[in-house]
Amino acid sequence: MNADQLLLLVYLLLPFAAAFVPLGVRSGGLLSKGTSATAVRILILLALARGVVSLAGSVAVKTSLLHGYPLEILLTLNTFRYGFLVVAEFCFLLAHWMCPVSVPNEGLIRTLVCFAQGFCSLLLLSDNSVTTGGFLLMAGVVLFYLIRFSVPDKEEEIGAVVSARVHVLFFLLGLLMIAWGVTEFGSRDLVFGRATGSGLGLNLWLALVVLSIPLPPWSRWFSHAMEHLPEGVVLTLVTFLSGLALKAASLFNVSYPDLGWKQKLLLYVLGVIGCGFSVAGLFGAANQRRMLSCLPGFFFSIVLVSLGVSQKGLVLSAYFSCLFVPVLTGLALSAAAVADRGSLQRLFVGLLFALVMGVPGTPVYQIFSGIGARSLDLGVAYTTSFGLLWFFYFSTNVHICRRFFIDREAPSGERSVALPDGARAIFAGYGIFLLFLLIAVAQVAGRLL
Amino acid sequence: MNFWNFAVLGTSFLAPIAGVLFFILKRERSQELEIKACLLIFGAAMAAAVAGIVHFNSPVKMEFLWPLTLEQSGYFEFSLQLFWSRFVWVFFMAAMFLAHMAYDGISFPREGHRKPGLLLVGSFAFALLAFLCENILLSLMFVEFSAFLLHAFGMEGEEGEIERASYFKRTCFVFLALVAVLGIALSREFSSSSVMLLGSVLYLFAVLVSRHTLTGWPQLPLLLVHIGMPLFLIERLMIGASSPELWAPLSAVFGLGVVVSAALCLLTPGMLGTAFWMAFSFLAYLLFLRFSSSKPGDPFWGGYEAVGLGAVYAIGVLFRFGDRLDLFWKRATAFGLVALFLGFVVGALPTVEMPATRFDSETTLIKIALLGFFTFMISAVSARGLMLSLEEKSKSASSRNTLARLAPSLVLLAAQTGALLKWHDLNFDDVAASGITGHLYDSRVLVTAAALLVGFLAGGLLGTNTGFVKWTKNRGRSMEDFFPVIDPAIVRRGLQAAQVSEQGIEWFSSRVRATGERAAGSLDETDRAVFGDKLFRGFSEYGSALSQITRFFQSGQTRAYLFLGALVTILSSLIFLLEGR
Repeated sequence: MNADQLLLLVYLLLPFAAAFVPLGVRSGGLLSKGTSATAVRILILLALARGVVSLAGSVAVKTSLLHGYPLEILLTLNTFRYGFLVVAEFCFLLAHWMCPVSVPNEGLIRTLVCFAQGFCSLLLLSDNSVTTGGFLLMAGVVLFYLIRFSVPDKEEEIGAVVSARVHVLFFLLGLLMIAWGVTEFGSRDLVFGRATGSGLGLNLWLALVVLSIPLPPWSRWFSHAMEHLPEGVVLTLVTFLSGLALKAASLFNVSYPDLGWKQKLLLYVLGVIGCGFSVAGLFGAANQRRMLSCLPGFFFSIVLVSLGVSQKGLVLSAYFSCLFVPVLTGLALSAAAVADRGSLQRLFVGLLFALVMGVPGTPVYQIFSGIGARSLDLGVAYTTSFGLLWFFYFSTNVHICRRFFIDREAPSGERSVALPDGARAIFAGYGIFLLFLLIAVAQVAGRLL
Repeated sequence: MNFWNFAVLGTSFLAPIAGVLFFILKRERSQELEIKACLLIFGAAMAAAVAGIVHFNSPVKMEFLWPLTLEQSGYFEFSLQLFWSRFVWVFFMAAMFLAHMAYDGISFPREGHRKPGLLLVGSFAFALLAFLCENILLSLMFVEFSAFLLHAFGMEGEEGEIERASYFKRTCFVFLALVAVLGIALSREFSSSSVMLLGSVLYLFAVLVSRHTLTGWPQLPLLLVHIGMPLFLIERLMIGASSPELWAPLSAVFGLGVVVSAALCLLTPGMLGTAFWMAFSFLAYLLFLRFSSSKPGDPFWGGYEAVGLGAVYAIGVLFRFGDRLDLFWKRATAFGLVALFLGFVVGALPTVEMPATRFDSETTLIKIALLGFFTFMISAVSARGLMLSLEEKSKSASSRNTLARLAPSLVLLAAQTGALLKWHDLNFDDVAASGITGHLYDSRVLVTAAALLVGFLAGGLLGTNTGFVKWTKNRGRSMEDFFPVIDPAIVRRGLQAAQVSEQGIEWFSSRVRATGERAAGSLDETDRAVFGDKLFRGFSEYGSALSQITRFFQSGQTRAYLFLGALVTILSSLIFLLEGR
């Protein structure tokens, strides 16, 4: 085992180790075991940058679960995954900061966030299909308890419904992943690769992709979670779901690079429906949290649209969507939390708006340019459909901007994060940093991939 | 790379960037300072645009050192194209904003922490990007940004609710236009370029239909900016696109537009309504000229339309201050200027007509007759409006400098002359050789000049005919009712539609949830029935029986040993017998 492998192993085990450390919370929630572990994980990722990014290589650790059987944990870190993990770690740091303080299950929530963080990286790096399915099953349990314990008492009923949904969904996803792996990669030690192309395997994969993405209007649980859960838990959930969506989208590139047009059309139509319902939900939303919860849903649906118009090779638009969703959620929640605006906060909100609007160079621009270019190649019907999609998105932003900044009465919103005065500036500064980090990662990743 | 290219480009962007920084960093609001800053910014932008018009005779592409897009096809490549016709649009935009600030800056809200100047400068900055961007899709995106900031600026004033309704209508119509284009595209009746052209024309219509009748003079330049941006997009789309199947129908549509809007203008009693419909009739006239020509894709048309819209504003300013033109020489100057603008717009003056681009040698008599008729209409509209404005009673006792009122006209005159001469300079080397007299005898010039003169006289007569004026005034605001001033019903319906969509989503989700719960319930029932009641019970009974047997054999009783012995004997005998066979 070389140094890089050792670092990767530490990186992977750190959140699980941190979960068992009995440390309290300091400095108004800003310093905790979770934040410390995340900071170390970020440093480890930076240390691994040379081998993974500069030399365009990969670092892998491997261990067998059952000798004599193809059940093994094979975790590989490559450039593609590295970009997402860097962004995700910074989002998890924000999630730890935004975890509710002085609530009955505070310690348990922080521990479960650590677990979710650990499973997110394991899920993304795993290359064995059955092990990945196992991670999904375990993640379902973690997210079930995370949601269950973080919902306030007065909303216990919603918490019960959402947590049950998440648990069933992840259970199903885990089973689907295992079944798909056995069907398609049974002859190749269950490791992801080019699929054999069986009809059953393809259908299983399609079901896996569609279920991995919280697609409106079917995923009502997602909007409930976005609306009612504390900010830190929401961000954890969204980051995890982004990792899952990225995993499903990247498997398209590995397993089905030449997917048939019918399957693509199905994904495209589902994606467009999801986008339409997200936008409609936003226009009908009555409060801040419900409005903000629609944007991640829109970008999750965009992942399907990207797959639907894809040609061959890596679907960069889907990648950028998965990069963007957790940051967008985190920044939107931060912006809502730092409501009293000083100059730094105003700058943060302005930059966030430029980012969301899709000024050239930003990930939103990359997402839409990728989809738009393919739509132009596919003909005028796809082009017009893309125009509608972009126009919907633009109108959505206009609506948000008008409701928040122009109307005399801004929409009401409840915040579970009580920030001290100093922390507001830190949040705004961190938001600006995260914003530029995202742009930088997207630019570098786009050139390398 | 040419130093002057960088210099002109830098100067163009310097003003809006400095303006944005100024408004962001400034903590306290000061109305006077903001107005002065805006005047300085837009004035500098106009100067830079003039430099661009003079310098860029041929297109120059400017790329970023670090490409902002990762998309390889080049469809969304962000680069700038510097060309004189684009700087004409920049000049037009800056001039409109400058005029707005010069005449109506006082209407800036005095209180509140918002910064209307920032919105206006931001809108200009995005419009600048749209005009200079090489990629038409990005131009469209920047135009939308600019339109939104302009909408936000409009909402700062007293007419916020009207602006809100207008923007809402605009969004709805653009959405409907896109759906219509999608339907046309799916029908496969037209080529791709034709579908795109239809889309851009529908986009223009969406903007036009969404605008409301003017309720104040400050809205006139903003209306023209709103019209100008989609016009620019049509120009961009027309360059290089070949969709001749639509040219004749579109010229017919815009010809009809000239007639309808001119008729509405002639029947409208108020000056604001007159200016509003005049803008529409000029716009329709300009587009009729483009689509009825043999070369609608010629780059000339863009700059021509920009100065045409500028002429509308200049004439509108004369309408606005017509009541204060008390002396004969002032009135004569105003009439002369309007006639001169009309001459420029319709191309009835020698050396500024466009024979090569407008009509070719196969031009039919009907086309020339139509051109004459439409020229007559817009001339009548302009002259009647000016005549009416002279008769209006002044509401304010304060007298302003006449030159200040004529300033937009003079600036536009210079710009218009410069732009047209520039175009001639680039396209016709033999202008001087052909001479003025050669052009004077051109039948088309003669027809348009005659139509202009007749229209001007007819309009003047309509404006002074007290019977006609009384009749139009007695009609009240019926013409304005085509575009309601305040339309709260639409806003209300929009909100209701949003609620309905939300309810629809709720209903659909609850259906899905209920179905899911039912499915889960049946699954649970099945699970209980199949696995719980039958299989599990069977297994458990079998298991308990097996357990009893096992316990019996392990109990140490004599009967158990006897039974086991008998069993072993039977099995051994069986094996022995089978082996023997």
